[in-house]
Amino acid sequence: MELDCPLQPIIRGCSSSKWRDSNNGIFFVLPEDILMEILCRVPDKPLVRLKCLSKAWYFLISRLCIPIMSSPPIARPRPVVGLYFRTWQLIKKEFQFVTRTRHHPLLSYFSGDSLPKYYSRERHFGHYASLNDEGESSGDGKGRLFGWGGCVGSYDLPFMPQPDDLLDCCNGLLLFVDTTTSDYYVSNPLTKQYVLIPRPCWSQQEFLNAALAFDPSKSTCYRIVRFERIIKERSLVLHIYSSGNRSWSRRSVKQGPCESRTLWFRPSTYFNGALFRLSLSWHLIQIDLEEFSVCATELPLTVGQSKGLIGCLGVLKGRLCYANEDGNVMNIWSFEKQGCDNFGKWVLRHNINIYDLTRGLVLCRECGPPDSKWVGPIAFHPSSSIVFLGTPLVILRYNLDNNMLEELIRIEKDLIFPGCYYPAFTYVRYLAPFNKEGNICAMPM
Amino acid sequence: MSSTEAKKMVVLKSFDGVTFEVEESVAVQFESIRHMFEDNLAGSVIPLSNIKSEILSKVIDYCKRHADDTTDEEDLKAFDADFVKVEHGTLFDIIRAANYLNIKSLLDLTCQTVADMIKGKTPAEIRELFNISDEFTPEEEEEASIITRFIYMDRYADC
Repeated sequence: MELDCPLQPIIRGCSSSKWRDSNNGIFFVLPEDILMEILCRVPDKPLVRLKCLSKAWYFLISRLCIPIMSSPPIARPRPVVGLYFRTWQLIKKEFQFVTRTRHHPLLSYFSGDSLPKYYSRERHFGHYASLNDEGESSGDGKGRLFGWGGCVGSYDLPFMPQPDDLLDCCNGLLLFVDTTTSDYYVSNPLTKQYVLIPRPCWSQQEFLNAALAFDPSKSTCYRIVRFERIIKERSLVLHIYSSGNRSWSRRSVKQGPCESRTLWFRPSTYFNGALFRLSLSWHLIQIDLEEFSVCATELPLTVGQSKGLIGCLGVLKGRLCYANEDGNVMNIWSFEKQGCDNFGKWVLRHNINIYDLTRGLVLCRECGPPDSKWVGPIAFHPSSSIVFLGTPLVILRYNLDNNMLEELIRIEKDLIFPGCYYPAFTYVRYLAPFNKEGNICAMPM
Repeated sequence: MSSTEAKKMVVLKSFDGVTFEVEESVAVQFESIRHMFEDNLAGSVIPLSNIKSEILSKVIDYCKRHADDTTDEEDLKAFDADFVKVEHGTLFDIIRAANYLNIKSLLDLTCQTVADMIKGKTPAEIRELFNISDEFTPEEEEEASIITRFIYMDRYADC
């Protein structure tokens, strides 16, 4: 693990004898800058636990380690420690939900920017899979499955969000919407804090889909982006809340005919200052938050080639990637920008025969029809060469470097995992807490 | 230690007066004192007034091993793993020496070793491991919990 030397002057400046007076042991023998070097190598969870060791450790960790580790540009990509994913309860003979088709009801359920108003809550489930306790990408061992209520209920939110209310998950922060008030909540599950962000007062529409734009290696400011599409005018209005000035702003974005006609898939990926979404016209939509422009690029597979499965978009080891299956092969492309405009091209990076790979594993229920079987990408690891694969019953972790495949989670009875229609959110820990204003306290004190 | 005519040697003197003759190719890893022997004519002694001979000899061992291009990576890994199997006091001394001499790879290795010791343990085990006795007093505990509440529980209620 690389440690940045520019840390040292800051720490030395912060050295304060009052924290050291009552210390002995490791504190007595090692100077604070070395202790910082050591503590910054301890994985997040044990690090947070160490705060209760003593007063000196408490101050060192919460006042120095965490703020410095979490501030740009030192903030490092952190390992994926969990996945939020949807599950679906099947009622007997409900073939429309198990059959793979391009007109699958879930595809339209998860598209568009108006959120579903009526949930059949008893059948829409969500789960959280905790991948390993130490938060190390190299760590192995299976994941643990948590029910939605037990997991999200522990985040100390003032309401109990349904699985549909989790709109986005970006670098350790979660975005929820309260559908009774249309207010947004940004939550940090690690510190169990939340920030309430009321919807803009001038907003006409309620229950709007939104995305979270947060990249701690660039800025500690997070933004909420609401999408309001005005079909008649072929325009897209972005409502952007910035934690920096704690207010909403409104930007109108012109769209081409191709982008405005079809629905966009709801999940978005924030990468390099832009939000990316998949369009049901089989395009990648790029919404530039600096220039306020929209640009569409055809996906590398046609609807027919991908059998109507939309595929998976995300950041894989620092690259914006798209994966989908073509026959028995899963292809992973990266989206590379060309020149200074927003146009890009697809570069094929990996080509994996997933059916060969998963042969011999029990991945779906025996009684299902043949076209209920699928193995597909559901999420990427943003900083390692790891792809999470889903099947109706199982979530697998596949390492592209050494071709290691391991089973993480097996879904409970009578539920299926609709991962080929709705991807999973990857969760990484973000240690820095919010302050009273709802900003992130990550700058060195 | 035998010296060869062809190789330039550097003489280091530890805190307790023991001198070590080290090949320059090994000593270049001591970033912080590199200028002293690179600028200097051969033969002068470089004093390292805060490193004990016992520790310095270990550090030199480490650097010799790492300067040797013929060692393969697996052997080097095994050597490193063995190298850090020492008492905590010695390990901390090596960390301080590595920090003082600015040997990045050794500092990485030793800090990672301590971090690995820490990560699998409960706070009580760590207290014992590092001999930390200053637990919170009841008053401090309250102070800390107030601070914790301030940092972690405060709500953004201004809406």
